[in-house]
Amino acid sequence: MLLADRSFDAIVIGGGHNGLVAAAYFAKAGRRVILLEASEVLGGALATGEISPDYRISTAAHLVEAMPRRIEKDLKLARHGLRFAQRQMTTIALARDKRHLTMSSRRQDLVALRQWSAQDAAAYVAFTARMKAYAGLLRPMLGAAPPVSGETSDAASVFRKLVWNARRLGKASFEDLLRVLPESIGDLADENFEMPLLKAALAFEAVRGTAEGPFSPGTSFNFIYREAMRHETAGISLPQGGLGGFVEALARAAESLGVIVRTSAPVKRITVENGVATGVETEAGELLLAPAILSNVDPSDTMLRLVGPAHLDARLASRLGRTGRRGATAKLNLALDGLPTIPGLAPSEYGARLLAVPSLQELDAAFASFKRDELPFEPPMEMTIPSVVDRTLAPLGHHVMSILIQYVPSDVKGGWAGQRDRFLDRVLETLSTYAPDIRDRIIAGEMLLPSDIEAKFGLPGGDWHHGELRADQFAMFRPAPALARYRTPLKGLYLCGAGSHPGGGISGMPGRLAAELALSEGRRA
Amino acid sequence: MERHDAIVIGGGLNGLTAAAYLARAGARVLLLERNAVLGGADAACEIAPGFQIARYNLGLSALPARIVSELELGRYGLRSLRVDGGVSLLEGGGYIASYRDGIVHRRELARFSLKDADAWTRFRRDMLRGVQQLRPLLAAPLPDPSRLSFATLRRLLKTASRWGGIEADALHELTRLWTLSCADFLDDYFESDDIKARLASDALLGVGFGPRAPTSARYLLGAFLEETVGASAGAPARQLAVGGPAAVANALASAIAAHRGTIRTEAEVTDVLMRDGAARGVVLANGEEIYGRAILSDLDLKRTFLALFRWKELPEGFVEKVGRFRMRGVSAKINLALDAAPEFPAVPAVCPAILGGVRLATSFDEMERACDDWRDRIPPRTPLIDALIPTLADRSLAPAGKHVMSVAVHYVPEALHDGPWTAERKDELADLVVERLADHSPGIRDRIVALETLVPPDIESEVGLTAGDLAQGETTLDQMFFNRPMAALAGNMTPVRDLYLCSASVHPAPIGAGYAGANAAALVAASLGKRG
Repeated sequence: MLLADRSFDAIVIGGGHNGLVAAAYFAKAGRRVILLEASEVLGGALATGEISPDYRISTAAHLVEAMPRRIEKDLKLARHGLRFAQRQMTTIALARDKRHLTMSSRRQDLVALRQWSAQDAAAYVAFTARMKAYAGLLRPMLGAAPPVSGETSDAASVFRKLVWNARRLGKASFEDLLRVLPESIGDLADENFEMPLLKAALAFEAVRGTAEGPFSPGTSFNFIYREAMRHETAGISLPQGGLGGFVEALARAAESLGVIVRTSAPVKRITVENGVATGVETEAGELLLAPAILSNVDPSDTMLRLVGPAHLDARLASRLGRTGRRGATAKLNLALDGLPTIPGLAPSEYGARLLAVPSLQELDAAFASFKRDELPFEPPMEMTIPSVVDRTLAPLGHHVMSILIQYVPSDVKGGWAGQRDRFLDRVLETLSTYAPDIRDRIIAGEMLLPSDIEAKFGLPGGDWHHGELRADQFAMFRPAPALARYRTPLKGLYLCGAGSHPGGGISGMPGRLAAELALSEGRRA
Repeated sequence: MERHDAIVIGGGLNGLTAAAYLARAGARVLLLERNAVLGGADAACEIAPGFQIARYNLGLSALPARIVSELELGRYGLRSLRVDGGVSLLEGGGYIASYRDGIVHRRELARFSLKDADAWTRFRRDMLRGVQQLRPLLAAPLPDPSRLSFATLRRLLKTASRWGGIEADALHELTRLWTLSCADFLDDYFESDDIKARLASDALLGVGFGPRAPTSARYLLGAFLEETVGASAGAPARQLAVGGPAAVANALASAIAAHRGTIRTEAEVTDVLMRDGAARGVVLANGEEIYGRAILSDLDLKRTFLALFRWKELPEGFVEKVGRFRMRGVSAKINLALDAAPEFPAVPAVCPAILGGVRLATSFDEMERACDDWRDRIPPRTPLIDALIPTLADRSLAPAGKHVMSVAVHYVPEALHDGPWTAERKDELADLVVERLADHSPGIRDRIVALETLVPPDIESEVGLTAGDLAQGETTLDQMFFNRPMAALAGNMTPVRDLYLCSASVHPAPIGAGYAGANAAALVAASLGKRG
């Protein structure tokens, strides 16, 4: 190979969605970009797999919630085959007594809610409006690189803007906001609502995928954050062909823009000369060079494994080693020989996002078990039956069901060996309380525990977000103060994964913002 | 008709402090206390003839040195003892102690981990830095951020630019201290589980959080509030008043009397008199009316507004907001009179740290489990026990050779999910606690000559704290600083003109007993035109 073939304008390590987005934006600017993915397929935790022949399902992540319209348009994803089986999905909280609750402010849903609790129906409208307003304040912060204190005057200007906008909400709302931000979602729900199911469903939205409980302080902020991330999107969506379909469109878009995509090309290390990242060495021994290297790999893994502690100051290395990333989510994928019967659910509602979280107390009890590294007795769950709206996933009349299980410890007391089957049984038992015939419908299935997710997708700790979203790992502290703004202490090396601002969820934002920053620095240099 | 410049309702530490500051400023002050003795939760009592104990005191409330010196309490008989921080008894036998002396303390930590002994200096430095950042916020009422006048806004922006200027790392450390859990925060310094658990148990006494709950790390600052930089670099001292916590109340009372303030005990206030939307006086249980230009309430927020006012006299929506203020009891007290000193075979007889108390069930798992039980409203199965034996340091509290033991039991709910606290259930709790103590101190059972168990409802009915909450309101961040007791009511003012709150229901809450009283007094003195 000629030297010229081995040098690029940019190398992207890791072909998760953020890596693909970053590479695509780079190529769109007319640069020569190569993307190296360690495994055989692109997409990382966004994948469609076969449970058994002809039954296809999103292996890990199963919904797209936070991808801004802008990225879809910039990269012309629709032209490259992105189709949504459903957008603006409704969420339904399943009730044990079959009086399921649709979480929406549409008139007909509110009428139903009013029959159970007029108080809650009124409160729900007010609550949703309030949270939307607060999310609106946060939004400008999530759509841009985080302000970095000490470096520019923009930290002060962001703060100033925040205060002014907050003030524009009016005195009462501003007071309320200051109180709500540090509050727990459980306390907040208790203050506003009386129906256990409604409270639990709202709390679940805030704690899903985190290692916090409904009464952990600060979880109200999570709720507002998710609301803000969702705002730029068309609600929760289900891509055609599962999340693998979504990644295919993204990959096609990137390749059509000129990105050279290589799979099964694990990177061994990032080469460093005089504090400058110059290129990468692949496991195959190949050396590639580029002035800009963007890593979609988990930040600690990038810095400690690919760069090596020798190039970092001890403080940063030890901080990275202690990044908070506790995975709490397992995944169950089922192939079914027919639609399970969920009594009380209208036929048109089987395509919705279904929550199985009966009350705050039970949610908290599951969290308490998780906290002690024990298995929750009735695990909280988020379910979809994507084959209801996407006929390509299963043979006619058959279905696939995708279940996210919350509060599953990665290292369970006593070890997983003896408990895996027992836990699966618990999950199915819980599921049976809502869908009594579920066990009879199952043809095949797979359960991914946090440790499986860690191994399969390279997510340390089984944390889907490359680092928990908490105040000390947010915005200018994400993933660590010295690594905020996608930069690293090594010139030319950038972080473009969910470990960077604005964080996890399938948004593509860290990828876009990192690429834009690297491009602008490239121009300046 | 009786007239005063200021009437203080309630003779707890904050009420007494407020009255003392006002009296010193030359105001005519009247303090009214419902019970026969002063001190509120710190009042002393004889649980058996000759055995003195502060029945409700958790052993945590010491007046800040600044208030002690400003009020010259030393002149009025207050003597304080600074003792070592106490010992935790470990599950498998053995103990870990906190010593004031830096060398001794580091040697103690080195028994568990050499690395942790080295980390102590860094930890202490960071704690003192955190206290320094916090201290300026304690000594004055906070501005209301929603009222953002032009001046406040400018001040905020200045703060913002300062943040913009300070090093990102420093801001990060600050964020970690105020938002992380004890467990995550301590992981940054220490590796030994015993050391981490000991420190977390220091921090979380009387708090409704377990060590793994986010935002619990900030309570670590509590023990360091009165520590000074440069002093021997050991563990923070525990401060005891000679004569027990009641001695602090008595010294304050003497200070009030010396400045011609009046104190009336057994004078229960039942109503606040209103005229034209302003508080003008109080009505006592016997129907007597007393008038004052300013009224200060040392009662908690709920008791002040829900009990002393006709609700329709209050602004619209206010009563609902008061109702939403979360108050939950977390602690019970078990008071023991012993006919001999309890022995702890695991701890060497000469260990001076035992003066600072004995702590049990301090592992993270046990504390978390107890906190979960508290939230589930069942009696804690692994309560956090903090037993102080004040007679070891202060012989005046019991007959010669005999002792009292003041046992604070934490994570005790104010009501049980399946009914009230009955006498049997209180006995079960006491049995559990004594059993646990006996595990580490064989023979303690036979030395008990008197025992009383006080659960949160007892504290509510006897001291008057809603839900038996000794912090007078949960100290979650949404009820702290400018949110305490609620937005727009931060500071000591209330929607009722000339009525001020001086209890721990307002900023700075239980951080530094007495600050709320001192801050209220400064406001009232200014409005009365008296010099502080």
